[in-house]
Amino acid sequence: MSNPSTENGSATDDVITTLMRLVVEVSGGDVVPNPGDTGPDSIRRLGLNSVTTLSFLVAVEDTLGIEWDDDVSSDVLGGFADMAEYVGALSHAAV
Amino acid sequence: MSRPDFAEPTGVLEVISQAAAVWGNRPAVTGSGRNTSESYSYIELLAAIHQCAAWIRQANLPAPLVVVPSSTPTDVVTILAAVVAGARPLVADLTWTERELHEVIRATGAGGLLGRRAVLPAGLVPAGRTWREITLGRWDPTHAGGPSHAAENGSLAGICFGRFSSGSTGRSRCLGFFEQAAVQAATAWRQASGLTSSDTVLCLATLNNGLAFNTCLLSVFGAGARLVLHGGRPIPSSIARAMRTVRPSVLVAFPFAFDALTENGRLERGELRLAVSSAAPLAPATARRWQEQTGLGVCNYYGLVETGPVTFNDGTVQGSVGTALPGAEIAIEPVSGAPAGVGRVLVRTRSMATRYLDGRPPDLASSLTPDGFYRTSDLGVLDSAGHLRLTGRVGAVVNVAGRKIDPNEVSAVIRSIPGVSDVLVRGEPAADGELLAAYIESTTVARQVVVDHCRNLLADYKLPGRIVISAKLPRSSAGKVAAAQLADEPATP
Repeated sequence: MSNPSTENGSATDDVITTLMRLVVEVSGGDVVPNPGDTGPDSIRRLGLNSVTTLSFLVAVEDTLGIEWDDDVSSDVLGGFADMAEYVGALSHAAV
Repeated sequence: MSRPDFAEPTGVLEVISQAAAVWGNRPAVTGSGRNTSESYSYIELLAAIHQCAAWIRQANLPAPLVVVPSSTPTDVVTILAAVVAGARPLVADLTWTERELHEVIRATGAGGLLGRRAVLPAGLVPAGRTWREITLGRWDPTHAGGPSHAAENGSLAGICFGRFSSGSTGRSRCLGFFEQAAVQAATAWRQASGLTSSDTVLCLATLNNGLAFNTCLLSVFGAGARLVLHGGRPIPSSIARAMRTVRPSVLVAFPFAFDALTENGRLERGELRLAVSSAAPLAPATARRWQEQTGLGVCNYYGLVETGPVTFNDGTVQGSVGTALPGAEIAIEPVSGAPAGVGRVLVRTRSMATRYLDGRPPDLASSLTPDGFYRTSDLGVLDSAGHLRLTGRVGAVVNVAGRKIDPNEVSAVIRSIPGVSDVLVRGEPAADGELLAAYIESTTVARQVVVDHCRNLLADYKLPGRIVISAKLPRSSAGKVAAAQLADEPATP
């Protein structure tokens, strides 16, 4: 029998990996996130400028099939783990 | 419904008063997305401006005041009320850091600040009074850096409001305007774009930006149209939601929004009759996709902080920023070495700035020809039909998705990091326009140090998209950084 919490953790890790890949893609390879840094502000600390940030948000929508709410918290957008959790919740809600 | 045959108003209050008298309870300005709760009819807008102006006057703060708008309907009221109250609002950029706002305060001697507490840098929130969440307070004297330069030398005489240019010496510059300049700019835009009271204008630009300031405030209100300020991020899903709910007839946005909307196929034309893009060139492929998906051309306009709006292209002529607006004149000044017909763009309008308010050289007059044309930093060519085509820049300002960035400012910030011995910041071609690249000479500084330092001191849009750190930058025999050799350097992870 599988462990749901492990499954959730693994799914979140997969989303984090995807998010980090998207950062690399939208920055043209100029920004490479540290896989060990997924906490609060881990995205902000990358120093993406505003245009690259918007490109990243668009890429997340297109790749993960979600739509950002207009009032999504800035905390969600600031860190990989928080963003992955939010994306996961949206995906579950959609199912 | 067409605009009644009024005499053209000469002031902000007159524009709004006329509109309230004619269009009364029709919606004047509302929000979309997270700002949907804010809305003013024309009568409510006039009343709110009077109320807010009285509130500002009671504070009795020395002019000018720095206003940091967050692009909500109440911010519109605040800007207009500050004008009406004689507070001489200097309309600042929401994304500026505390350091950048300090610089503005110091340079202009601003006496206070207006803005939403939630959007102001924590160190600058004044202990003041609030009006519908707008905070108004006097600067802490330790912030203000002495008496107002502008007030001291009398350069505020006649000045009604201020707007900021990107500057060309590493610091943003504040330009002062007479009240008539705003009204003239609005009138010219309203006439050229054919705005009427039937229009709903969805604006994705921030209120400090010329695209919003000149095309979406008094021009919309003078026509009796409805302005909707987008309360979401300018990404396709959010814009598409706003398009569905607002059903605008006019869309005002930056090229990024057009790129994203057309790429994702989420576009619904609805009632749209006019789409306006500005601040940076729209990629031909985007213009083509937009045309295919909507049947409309993308309109463009050319304007500068120093002159206000200059041209309008209704979308029918590709590659042109349009022909001169009513009251605007364009000339081309020959530049040595430029191709035939290409030269520096000279502009004279009825909405010109009056002077710089920061007292730094050079003054505005030194950028004017003897007959009053402003010498821009743009290169262009004017065809026989009067269409202006821009071909490049005279200076080194970098245009990243419509935001003008002075590399000197970014260089100075990076150079101040201990351990950085030299730096070169410049624009480089990117797939979707230009990106800002920083080449740093250091043996000790890590990328994260540069990022953190820049994030603390620079607005997000000024952060370099590419950072390369090396122990030695390539140099010419004269010791100058060999810029041509830099592009091959890999970015620092």
